[in-house]
Amino acid sequence: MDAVIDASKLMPREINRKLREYAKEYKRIIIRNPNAKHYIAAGLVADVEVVIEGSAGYFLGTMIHGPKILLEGNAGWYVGDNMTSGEIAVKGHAGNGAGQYMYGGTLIVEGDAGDRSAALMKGGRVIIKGDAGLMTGLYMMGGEVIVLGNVNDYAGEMIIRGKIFVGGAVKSLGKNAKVEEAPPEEVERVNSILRKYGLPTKDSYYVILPKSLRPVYKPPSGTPAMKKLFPKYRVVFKYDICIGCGTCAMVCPEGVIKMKGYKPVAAREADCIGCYACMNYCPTDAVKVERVAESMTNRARIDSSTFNYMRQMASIGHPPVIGMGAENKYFPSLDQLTFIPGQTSRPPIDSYREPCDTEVVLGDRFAERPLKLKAPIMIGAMSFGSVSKEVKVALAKAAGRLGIAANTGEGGMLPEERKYATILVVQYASGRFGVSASYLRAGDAVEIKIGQGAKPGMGGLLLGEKVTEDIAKMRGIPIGADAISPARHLDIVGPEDLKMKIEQLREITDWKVPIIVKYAAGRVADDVKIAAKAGADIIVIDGKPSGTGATPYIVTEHTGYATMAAVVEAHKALKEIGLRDKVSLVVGGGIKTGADAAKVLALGADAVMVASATLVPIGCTYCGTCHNGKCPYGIATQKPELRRRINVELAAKRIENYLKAFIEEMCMFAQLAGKSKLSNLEREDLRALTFEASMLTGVKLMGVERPASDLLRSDE
Amino acid sequence: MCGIAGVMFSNREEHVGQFLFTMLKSLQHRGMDSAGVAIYRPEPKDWLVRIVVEDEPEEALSKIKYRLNVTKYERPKKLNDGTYLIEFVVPGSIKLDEIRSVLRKLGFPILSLGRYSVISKDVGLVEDVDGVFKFSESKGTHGIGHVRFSTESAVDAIHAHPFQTPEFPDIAIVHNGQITNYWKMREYLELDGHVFQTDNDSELIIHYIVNKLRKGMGLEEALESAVRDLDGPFAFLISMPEGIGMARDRLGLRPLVVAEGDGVLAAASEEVAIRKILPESKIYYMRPGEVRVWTQ
Repeated sequence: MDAVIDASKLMPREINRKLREYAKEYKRIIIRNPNAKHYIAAGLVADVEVVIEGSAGYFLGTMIHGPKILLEGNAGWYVGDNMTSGEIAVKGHAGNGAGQYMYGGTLIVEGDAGDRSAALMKGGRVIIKGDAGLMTGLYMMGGEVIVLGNVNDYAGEMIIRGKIFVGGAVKSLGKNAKVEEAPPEEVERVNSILRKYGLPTKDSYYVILPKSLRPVYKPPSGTPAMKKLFPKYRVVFKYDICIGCGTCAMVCPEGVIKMKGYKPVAAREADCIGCYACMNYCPTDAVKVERVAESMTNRARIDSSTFNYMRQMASIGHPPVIGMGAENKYFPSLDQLTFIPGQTSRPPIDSYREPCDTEVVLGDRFAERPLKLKAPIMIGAMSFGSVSKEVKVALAKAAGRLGIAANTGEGGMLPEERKYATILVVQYASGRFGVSASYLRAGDAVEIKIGQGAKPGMGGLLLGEKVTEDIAKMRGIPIGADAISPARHLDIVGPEDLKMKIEQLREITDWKVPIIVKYAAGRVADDVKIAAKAGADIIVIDGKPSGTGATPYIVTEHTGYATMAAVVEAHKALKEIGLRDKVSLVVGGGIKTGADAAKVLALGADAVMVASATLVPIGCTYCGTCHNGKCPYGIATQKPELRRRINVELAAKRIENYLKAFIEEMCMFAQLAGKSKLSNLEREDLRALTFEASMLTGVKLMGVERPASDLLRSDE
Repeated sequence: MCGIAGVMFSNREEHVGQFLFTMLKSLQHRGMDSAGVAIYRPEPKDWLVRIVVEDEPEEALSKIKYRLNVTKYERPKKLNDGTYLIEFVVPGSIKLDEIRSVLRKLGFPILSLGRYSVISKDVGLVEDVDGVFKFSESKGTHGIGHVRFSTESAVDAIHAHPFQTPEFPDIAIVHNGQITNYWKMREYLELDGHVFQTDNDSELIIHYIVNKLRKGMGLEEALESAVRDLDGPFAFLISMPEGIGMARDRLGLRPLVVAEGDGVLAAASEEVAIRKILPESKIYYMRPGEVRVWTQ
């Protein structure tokens, strides 16, 4: 017997709850009067047949695993989004983004499909009986698409894996796509698939294939590389204590140190990046790396970093990539603020003997299970891929022991990570690498990554050098391909899209866990208001300076918005729309010690996000060679021989120590300012040392006891 | 920003207000900050003016009556954003410049000004706005409507959509998206003599289209040119006494679907809105960069 759901008066949430309930008992469920409602069957994991008698709205069957859905009318945008297995058959037309981010299963559209069908598809199959719109197979990374009609312009734009079969005409090809006549055995295979679904067949097909696995970051070829000329470091050996073991030469990631017999020499000093691996691993301390005074060109005074960079541009022909934060010295720093103590006007609290509350609850606006952190710290997103498994596990262990939040990053979740972290945020980024309904449901919160402080306005970047078999499998991409996330989520182009996205994720997680929206600081006030109104529980703002695993050097040096100004603006924006008490604000970007964190809390944040700084306890020296897999400390690399250098348990213990000290530091500032709770830190506890810092934050300028902006105003 | 809707009947007056109300209600999830509609009648009448004042509406009304030949007026109404709405009628024989300059001198922002069209808009849900204006009872030949999710400008009645500039009464726009080369285009239009009243990118589209129409282009040509010149994600409906024009950006980043039924044409951000009023019609998804013009 079939179950029947009359959807005419139901909210998507009620339809989905009923679907899940009925799927346990019935083999077939009929939905009447769907009236183009959104998110039908979102994240349904069941072996059941669902028949929908009418049209569906956006995100029909998003992230399903198993069910067979038959839609008798049209489908709105993003049908079959991110599905992992199962089948969706649409009798009518489909809107844009049909089968986007698919990992598995089959989507059949009997009418026409809109634009960007099968975008960022990583597996599975999309069949379109009619015509397909623009950019079919955009950024495709796997799977196959069969279009019986015509495809519009830019088919297979930046495809790196997978096949697009076209029965009609191909109007134009996208970058990195080539078209061929499909060989007879492929034609037969495609036709047998079509026959299986009772669809018409054709005698011949065009097939669109990728030209190159790495269309963006092609390895340099042809031109010999220009040498770096200006050294930034000098490598000095003490030959009297050197034992000639060769460790320094072995660990040097740039091949600066060479062995001349038993004698190490610095052969190409200009290549030294200052990772200090030789110093770190030398058993006798016989080698020393010293920073030398910045060299300049004779005329025009171009500094060594810029000059070496220009030569690198000339060598490789695309913007060179680097890891870690910017060198830019002009960004205002939290160091320009200082805490003032309580004395007798208000008494200080003894930080060695008296208590300080650090607990904080984040995201209790709509979520049934808000995040209850023992201290206001969230470890920032660093994906498996950008960092090694050892680092992910060490971070999860430390976070679990301290009762703070860990984050998966955008490359999927490691089982060990889930095991050790008591609070784990799962990130939902624009590449949707490793995303499925079960992934989202395994998290204690879902973070929608809109941007990252170090590369605002750009998507995640993982160069092919680091994409090993494990990473490729988890992300659903070919081995050695660059994992480049789009600059924006293909389905979040504006505020109403963000609202729909939050609702979609709530449908999948059944309104249980908080939804976090993470922004790179930019138009902070506007963005924060949008996210708050769109229904976010927690907003994360990532300001400058901040870290990354890989980004074009030029972007990280010349974009961004200072953390200290961003936190003040975000706090103010939430107050303006009357949602400050409902929405939690987390701020990150360049936070290294308890002082930075306490200042950010005093400026208005509910918690801080710390990411790059947690790598220092594992050995990170901020050298910036995170992007190419050569990290000498085994952190930002996937090479087994380098990863072996991490002792996971020791690393976890050190991260735990570091963060424990960090929390105590935060408490010290709260207590010396006379508070017994971290959350009671306020702007009044700070003074600005510079005019600039006072202008940026509204903190009183030291010695004047008024905000700098007041001084300007009183001139009127 | 937002959800947009438009409906047009060929050569007959119908319950446009009710249709737009139904469509906007089904698009409500796309924006809950504010809502509004512009409704057109087939023949020009006297100027119907709606302005907004922050306080002392009675005094404002007497000031206007003193300076303009007001033939009819309504008691000031309180809007959902706390300001007051004043509605009055001025004979059609009076020059637009006169009305505009009087209101400019008094410093009252104009919410609606036209001989063919009436704009009703305010903060709140569609129902809240209808509660103030009762636009769902209005008849007309065509109209456009909007639910707003604000992005980069203020949330109040004046900044709600449909957007109109007093420079060109009876032209209204509803817009979903942003124009990312706003300042570049504005400079270019200002060199051509256009005067901007706000920093709102929707106003730019009106100026742009009017600029092209004045240069002798047809509306369709002007819209095609807008798609080439304006950058960023957008889908918009522009309404005039003659009909409705619409366009979608080149990359198709904003949705727009249309349906052409028996003597009735409808456009909306989502199929669901059209299904509500024309359940049986064939729905057409506008292509990226596609433009369309419906005339009476």
